[in-house]
Amino acid sequence: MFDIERLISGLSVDKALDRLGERFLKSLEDETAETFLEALLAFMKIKFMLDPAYRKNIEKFRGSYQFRSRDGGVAVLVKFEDGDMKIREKTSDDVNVTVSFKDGRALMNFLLSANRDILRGLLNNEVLVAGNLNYMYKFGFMANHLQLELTGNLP
Amino acid sequence: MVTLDDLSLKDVTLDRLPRLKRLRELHFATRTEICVELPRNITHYMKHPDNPADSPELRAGKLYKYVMENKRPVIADENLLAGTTTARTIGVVLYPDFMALSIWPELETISRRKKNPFGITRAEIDELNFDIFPYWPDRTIQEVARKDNGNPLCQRIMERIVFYIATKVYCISHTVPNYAMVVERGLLDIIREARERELSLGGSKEDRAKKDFYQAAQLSLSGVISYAANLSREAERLAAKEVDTKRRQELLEMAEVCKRVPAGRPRTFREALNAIWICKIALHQENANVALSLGRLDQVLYPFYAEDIKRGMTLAEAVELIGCFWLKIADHVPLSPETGEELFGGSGSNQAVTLGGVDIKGADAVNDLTYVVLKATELLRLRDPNVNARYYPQVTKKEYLDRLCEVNINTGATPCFHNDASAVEALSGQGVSLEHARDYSSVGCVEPSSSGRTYGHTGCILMNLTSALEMALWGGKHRLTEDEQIGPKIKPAVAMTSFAEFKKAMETQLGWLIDQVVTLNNNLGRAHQKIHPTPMLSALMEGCLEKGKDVISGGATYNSSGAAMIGLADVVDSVTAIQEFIFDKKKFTMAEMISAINADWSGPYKKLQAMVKASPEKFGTDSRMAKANADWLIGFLHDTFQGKENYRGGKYTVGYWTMTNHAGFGALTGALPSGRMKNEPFASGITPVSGSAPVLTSCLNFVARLDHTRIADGHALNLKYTPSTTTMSRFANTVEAFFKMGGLQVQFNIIDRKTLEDARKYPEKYPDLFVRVSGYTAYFKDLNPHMQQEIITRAEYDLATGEEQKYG
Repeated sequence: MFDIERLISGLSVDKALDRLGERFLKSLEDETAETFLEALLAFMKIKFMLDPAYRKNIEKFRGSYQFRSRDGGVAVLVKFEDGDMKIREKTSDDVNVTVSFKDGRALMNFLLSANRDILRGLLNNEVLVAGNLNYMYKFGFMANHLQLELTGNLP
Repeated sequence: MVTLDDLSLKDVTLDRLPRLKRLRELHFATRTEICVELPRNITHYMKHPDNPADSPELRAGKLYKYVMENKRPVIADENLLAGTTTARTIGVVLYPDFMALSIWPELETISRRKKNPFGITRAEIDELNFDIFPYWPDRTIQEVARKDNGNPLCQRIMERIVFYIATKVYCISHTVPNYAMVVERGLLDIIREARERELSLGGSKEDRAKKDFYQAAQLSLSGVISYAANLSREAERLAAKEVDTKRRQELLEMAEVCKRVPAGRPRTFREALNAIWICKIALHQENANVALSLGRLDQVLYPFYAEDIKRGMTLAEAVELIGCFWLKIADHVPLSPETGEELFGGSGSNQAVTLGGVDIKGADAVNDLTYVVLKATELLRLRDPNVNARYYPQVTKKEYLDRLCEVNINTGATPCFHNDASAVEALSGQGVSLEHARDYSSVGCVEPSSSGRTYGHTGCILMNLTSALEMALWGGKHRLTEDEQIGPKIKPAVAMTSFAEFKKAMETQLGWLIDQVVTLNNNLGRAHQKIHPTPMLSALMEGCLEKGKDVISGGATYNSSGAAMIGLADVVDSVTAIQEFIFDKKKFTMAEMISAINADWSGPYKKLQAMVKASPEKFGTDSRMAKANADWLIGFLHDTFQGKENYRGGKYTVGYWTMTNHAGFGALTGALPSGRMKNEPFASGITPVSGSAPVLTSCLNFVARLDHTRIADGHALNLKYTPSTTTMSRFANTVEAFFKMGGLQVQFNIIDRKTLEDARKYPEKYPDLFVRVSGYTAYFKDLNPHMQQEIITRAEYDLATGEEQKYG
């Protein structure tokens, strides 16, 4: 699922960024947003690799995140360490924060500010966050930034 | 003493006070902006000069000395008082060790969000994102408490939002500092006392801890004096380049004022006001302003006012100074992330000021300054401060009550009314001496608290009562959290055979919720002790210098914690409906009731809903059944909370005021047995559900007869009167009658639904329309849609008939 190498193989740096950016934007438009997490993490990773300004977000930062779908279909461990982002399909309890979500649309609604429906998310018990909320806030900033940048809406 | 001939001060108008008029216009025209000064200074200090080997008290003392010394002196407009809460005209203060990080995800969108946007520059976004916030994720009160207590259940339950909120994650405000100390002594004298006490101590462990506290008090207060000196220099600098002679003179006077106060004892009304204002600014650097209240300003400031009047100050000049103070108080806005805005938005800082009432000997304390303050309030019609008027039937004069009603009619929403007789009795029941009880002020919304000597954190807990009802119905589960076992596993309601059994289930779930939220508040209190002592507030609180202890460690003369209950009338009506229809009249079964509320009273259940709603057995009527259930619930909550001890060795008190939480919690809650449909706002405060208490006298009688000694954290009875039928005498008579029956507090919106509907539709036409929410006042346009709907549908009484106007 998170085979970024496969997604960008044979592409130039710029093309790889474009490809994953398009993929991320497309995932937002998708009704079910099934691929949202994968597209977000893949784009985030390549942005960290290729964009020094964006990489500044994780320089000197250590944080680990467990993303997990309620149905057990998705379990992704994301680790940030000294400017690097690692994505693994596994579960771990030794993380700063765990996010359990009903589906991709719910996670997207939770993470991204644009067109967010907070009440719906709460009423449908869509996303549960366990652990240090501040790490989630930081991740939220990084995710929102990507969307705003791609859509030309950065302030 | 009252010497005024005209209590309404009719000659004092905004047209005759052009400065206030301009400042008011500027206030409403100014965009709120995020200010990064405080988090920048705190973060810099903690990264560099801070010495972690120091005690928490000493670290805090050094920190706030640094913060105040490095706070920018801003004199940006023609206000007569110097100093600003932030470096912005109207600013949002960010507290990095509290909840500032909650806006991290929104930094790049917060200036464009639909509701209550805050301005922020690109440079500030980058500074917060790259330099400031990254230092704090493991260092906030919330996360320190989580780590120290192993991510406890009580904290995880709060994060499900629908059960309760423990506000110490934001601050320890909700109290009244002792501003009398500021104006009677000045800070240098308080520093001197702290120094003398420090030098008198020996070398024992206990003495060393006290020494650290005294040093912290001295350090932080010296920082406040440095800030005033910086303001003075700034006023001189501006005066030197000012071409307008009159303004130059004002700035030079301002420079002199800030040279004198708050270091020394003020000599004039203006100096006294500026001394209090500078101290209030300082206290806001230490803690977020959530109901950091002003106390009895008309009593504290009266000697300065009276002296200046003798020296020739006019009433208009006095009103102008109070008006300048009111506009200063309104110079900051609480931080609220998008979710907060969506559920609970629109709240100001809930800074209460208290007027009138009796003195410590029980005599009428209303004076000329009381009326001057009322005039400034009437002219400016601002959200902050939240003006609370004390009235003691047959002690304070009727003409004073008439004037309070007149101001309420003219402003539409302020002041609110407190009954001294009942409030004093409620406080005395909590061990407060009679003299100290008589010297109470309102904190935040409505909570009575002995002025300047009580650390009561009267809003530390906000608990959703309907969540206990849900868990009683579903065997410890809640519909929002689905299959998760939240509360104790008990028999589901469908298997219960008596009303007594259902009440027992309610008590089980309520008791469990109370255990959780008290544990959480105590955990958070200990986290404050560990990383966030409050030396400035402590130095300005009676008891702390005597004991050598910070307020957060129990230094104040009186220590308590206040828990506000949300959804009282909805729960009482629900429990009463279960008693009446399921167990007494056996009109339907519990299973049918549960099916009905699961279906949101739709389809075949509409008739059932009509039957339940038509029942006269409701909170706020003559119903004995509802009254008995209200007494039971209020008694159970009081007894259970009083049985708990807070982290300072004090008691928990219970109140019924809801801010905007009745709308937020309501939006998250399904249909209820009372006939309420899902997502509808709950009734506010201690107010009956709209439409269920059609007769005003019954409503007032019902609430007045509740045992106010079990409501020591105050209550908000929110009523709406139709303007066209609200004469001053009718209005005053309803308040007088309510108080003579024992009512504790009542507040009014004098506005009709048509105006509110129009304001909802065309907010631009009503930029300054302000309304009573549940305890405090808010600008209608700032409220979230749920809260606007609640205010619109809130029971409106016609004073000509005494009956509720039907909605719709």
